[in-house]
Amino acid sequence: MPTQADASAHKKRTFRKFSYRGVDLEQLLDVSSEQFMDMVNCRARRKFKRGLKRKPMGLIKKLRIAKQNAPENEKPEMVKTHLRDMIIVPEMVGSVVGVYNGKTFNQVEVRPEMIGHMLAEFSITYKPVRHGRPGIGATHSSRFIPLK
Amino acid sequence: MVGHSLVASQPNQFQHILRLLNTNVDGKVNVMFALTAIKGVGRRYSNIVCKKADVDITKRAGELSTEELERIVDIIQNPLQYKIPQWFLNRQKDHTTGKYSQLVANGVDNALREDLERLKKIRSHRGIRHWWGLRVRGQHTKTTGRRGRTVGVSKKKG
Repeated sequence: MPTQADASAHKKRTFRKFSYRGVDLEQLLDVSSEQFMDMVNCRARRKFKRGLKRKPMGLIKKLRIAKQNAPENEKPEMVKTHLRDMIIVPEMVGSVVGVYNGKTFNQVEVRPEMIGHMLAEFSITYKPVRHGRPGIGATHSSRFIPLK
Repeated sequence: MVGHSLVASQPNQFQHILRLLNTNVDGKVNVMFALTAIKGVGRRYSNIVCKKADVDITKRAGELSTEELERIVDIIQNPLQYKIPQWFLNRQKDHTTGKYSQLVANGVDNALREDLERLKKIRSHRGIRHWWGLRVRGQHTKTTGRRGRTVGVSKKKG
């Protein structure tokens, strides 16, 4: 079952070759959907198994067009989407996607290491909390301090 | 009662502390549990490794001969060759290499660090949470996890 292509044992894929579960990028692009399902983790596999009517058809088409129109050695133009639940497929690598987080479209450049994750993971939906000074009433002890 | 009697073992030296796979293993303890001192080897894995190595389970770790120890180390590091099933291993279908293996000792720490690094590099939400030191798995953090973070109110005068 685990026979991925030859296991390229390079784990550091930043400057060395990238491999997803032992398969290189070029080979990943040729892989069929069923084989990709085997490689990916179970959440992604479930999504493919269930929704193969492919709601994201529109997104993938637009990504392809944007990639074709892009001048060489430049990033393709941003394709906006609300589809945060879209799993990143090898085909999408290299595109720039604007992922909606409720308010704005966060620009995400899809890199090969992101394969198998969902678009939503890269577009944070909340502003990280920076606590201010706790006010009166925040703890039990400070509740009955008179106002003046 | 066989396990208790040290007198019955061969005259080769009984080792009080062994060194396996970069960790110190206690010799006085039963083999199966002595091996658990190695990171990445728990009770179940240790049990099956001893069985595949044909090592008497009732023995103490210090009583094993060096070739038995070598066999054990070999099996720990190459579990698939000795017919330990894939589902038994702790690193299955590795994210970057796709291999099935059992991580031990330093490998465990390295793999953990690399996994976290990978998430952070990708700037995935999980990676960011790790970076901030917050809960990753969706727990509520309003009231729990206080040990690291303290909250306080100062008594403001008017």
